[in-house]
Amino acid sequence: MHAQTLAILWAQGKSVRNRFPRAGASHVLSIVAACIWYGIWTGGAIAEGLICAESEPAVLMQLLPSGLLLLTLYWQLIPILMVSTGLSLDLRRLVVYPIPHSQLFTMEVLLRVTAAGEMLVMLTGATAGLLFNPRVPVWGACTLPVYAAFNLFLSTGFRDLLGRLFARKRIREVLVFGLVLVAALPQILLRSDPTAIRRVLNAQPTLYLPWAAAARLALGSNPFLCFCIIAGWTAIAYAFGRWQFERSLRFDSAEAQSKDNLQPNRITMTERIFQIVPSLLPDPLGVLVEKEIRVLSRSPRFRLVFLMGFSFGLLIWLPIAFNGNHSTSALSSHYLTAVTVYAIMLLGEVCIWNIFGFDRGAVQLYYSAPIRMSTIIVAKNITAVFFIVLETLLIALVCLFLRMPVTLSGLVESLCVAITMTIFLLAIGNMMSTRNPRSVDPDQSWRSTSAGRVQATLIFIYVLVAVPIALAYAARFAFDSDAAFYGVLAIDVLIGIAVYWIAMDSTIETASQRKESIIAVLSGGEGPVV
Amino acid sequence: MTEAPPAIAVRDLRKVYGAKAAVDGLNLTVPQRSFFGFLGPNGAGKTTTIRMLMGLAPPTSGSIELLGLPMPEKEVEIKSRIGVVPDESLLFDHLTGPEFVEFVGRMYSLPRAIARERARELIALFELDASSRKLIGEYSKGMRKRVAMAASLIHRPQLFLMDEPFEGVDAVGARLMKDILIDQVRRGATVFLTSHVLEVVERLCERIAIIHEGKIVTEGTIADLRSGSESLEDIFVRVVGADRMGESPAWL
Repeated sequence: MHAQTLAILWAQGKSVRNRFPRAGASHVLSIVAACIWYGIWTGGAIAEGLICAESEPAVLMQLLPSGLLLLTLYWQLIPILMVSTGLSLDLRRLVVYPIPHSQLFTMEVLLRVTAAGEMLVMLTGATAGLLFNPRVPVWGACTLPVYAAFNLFLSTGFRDLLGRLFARKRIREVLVFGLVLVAALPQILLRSDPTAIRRVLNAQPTLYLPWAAAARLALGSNPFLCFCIIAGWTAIAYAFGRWQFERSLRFDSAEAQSKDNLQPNRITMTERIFQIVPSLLPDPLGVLVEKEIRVLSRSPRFRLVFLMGFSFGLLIWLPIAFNGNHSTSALSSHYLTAVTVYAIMLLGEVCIWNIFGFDRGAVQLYYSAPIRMSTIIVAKNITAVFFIVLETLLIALVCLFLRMPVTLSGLVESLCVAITMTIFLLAIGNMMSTRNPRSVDPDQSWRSTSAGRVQATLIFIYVLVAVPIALAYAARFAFDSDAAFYGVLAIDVLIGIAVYWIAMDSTIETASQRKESIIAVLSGGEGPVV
Repeated sequence: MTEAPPAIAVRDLRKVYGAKAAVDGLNLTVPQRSFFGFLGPNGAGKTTTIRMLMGLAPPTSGSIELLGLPMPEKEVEIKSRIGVVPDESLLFDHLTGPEFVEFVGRMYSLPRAIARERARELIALFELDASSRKLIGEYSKGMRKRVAMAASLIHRPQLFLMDEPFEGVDAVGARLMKDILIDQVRRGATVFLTSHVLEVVERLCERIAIIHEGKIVTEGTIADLRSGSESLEDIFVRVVGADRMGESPAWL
């Protein structure tokens, strides 16, 4: 391996080790969640391996192309939907050194494994299964690592391409809707024709598609042609990944941002909306909320998360809009609530779990200004509630615009659920923010954890917080009454407020005791890999 | 015998952000073995220029040659021969000073043992050995600049590009850094630096250029630019047209 690659790995190892003693309970929780998550996938991979080892080639010829297609979709799409594309080189800091771009590209491609490690586990399972299948040639299993390389190159290209596009304000908005439409396509197909997806997956795909060629080659069918096809696709993915990587190396985000700020003095409609809440509050609370809203709304990371949370509403509702058939399933009757909960899950990372990490430079001011810490935390929490309510209203507005069945009661229900849930989340989030603050680059659109780990951690926390909400729904079901639902929610809110104030005392105490370490941690950056 | 190419040769360099040209048709030649000061008021285009020279930002148009080699065509070769003291945010906060300097040495392809030995010596030279177990994130601003300069020396570069190297450094540290840089120029290196500390520039630099609103407004030796008993500060204020005091608000 190249000396510089080893040096980067060495420095990253040192950075992680130097930071490790500062890890708190949330790191342990995150590791436990990751173990559970990857444990589930490992179980899936073992099952997949057994199927691959035991099945006849004819059966595998049906299953494998669909499996590889799903794998590619997951690998390429889920990290984008979860705004989590895994680890990546911090090119901004490494570009000053004399490292050949090919070396940097190789490292970046290898880091793409962290975007969807689950898929690598599944591929390993399939490869092992095929190796043990006596009816399949031994060399066939070698195809799957090539297919992994194809996905890694493709993933590198997409990440770089999207990263640059998301750095440009207006293109970013259009792009999110484009992505949502792409992601909604299977659902649209499913709604318009329930058997469509099954037919697509069961159909023998044309040999020239990468998943079909890889599957056939793995099973030893038409090896020369299939090898040429998969090698060709891998070469195309490599060229795409390399091309996008080179463009990212030369990309100047300041230049991209500047094109969006040609009229800095014009007060936009959005700015006017953002000033409503702060104008109702007395200073210093008002000015703190105004500052929070401004800082967050200008951060690429927050904007992306806000857009994803909001546009996922469309993802769920588009099929119904296209179908014109208002389903009465549990999800469709609580669609607004479901979308709002998803939005809170995404917004949590920027508004709830690490309230000081985003605008870390301001922390020193908070500690030196004559303002009580409780006022600062409440201001941050009001901002979180503001954005959650705004997101819910935007979702409802778009649904109304698309002539979807949005009722006032549905809107009230989703707002009540969102606020109840948010109170509990804020109580936990405030404590986590002072016990385990992390410095976050607000200009970095993507999260550095893998999409899978994010899902696992969120599921773990949100299941816990969803219990009081579930009780309210249980009350509605048991008594067949909205009054029971709102009654339980009201009790939940009261309990939530009590929990919030108890947590606030603990948060302020921690913030005071750990003042020095909070400032130190939030002043720090990352290693060569972020 | 052929004449050594200039350390820096910049032609018609432009960098445009939106509708504003941060650097607007810059022409600059810095001879080798010289100490060159690049001055200008805040927002004049100094950092943008030095970022383009370091390869951190691509120019909108124009050409850059460092040590006779064109950028970006010979980027890797150029980078291996220059030492940079960039914006301090490019340091790795979770490494200690010696670890960072060793890391930089290895990035310049020094064998690990040599990088470690040189890192130890440089840390001692910059009087950071007392804090050698501290993380860079815990360093003061001056200490961060010292460690950045220590790292820039590890591969004995021919050209130093330094953005505000003395910012936040105490008098003792600044003296130490100046002595080391003077010694490097004596040994044949070229130093190109931006600084707001005009006394330091006046004492160190043989030639200066002043940039204002993206354009070079004056360039030459300090003696050439001086009229009468002017200090560098007087020259600077006269050239950038900032010699009038703004009217303060009544309440101030």
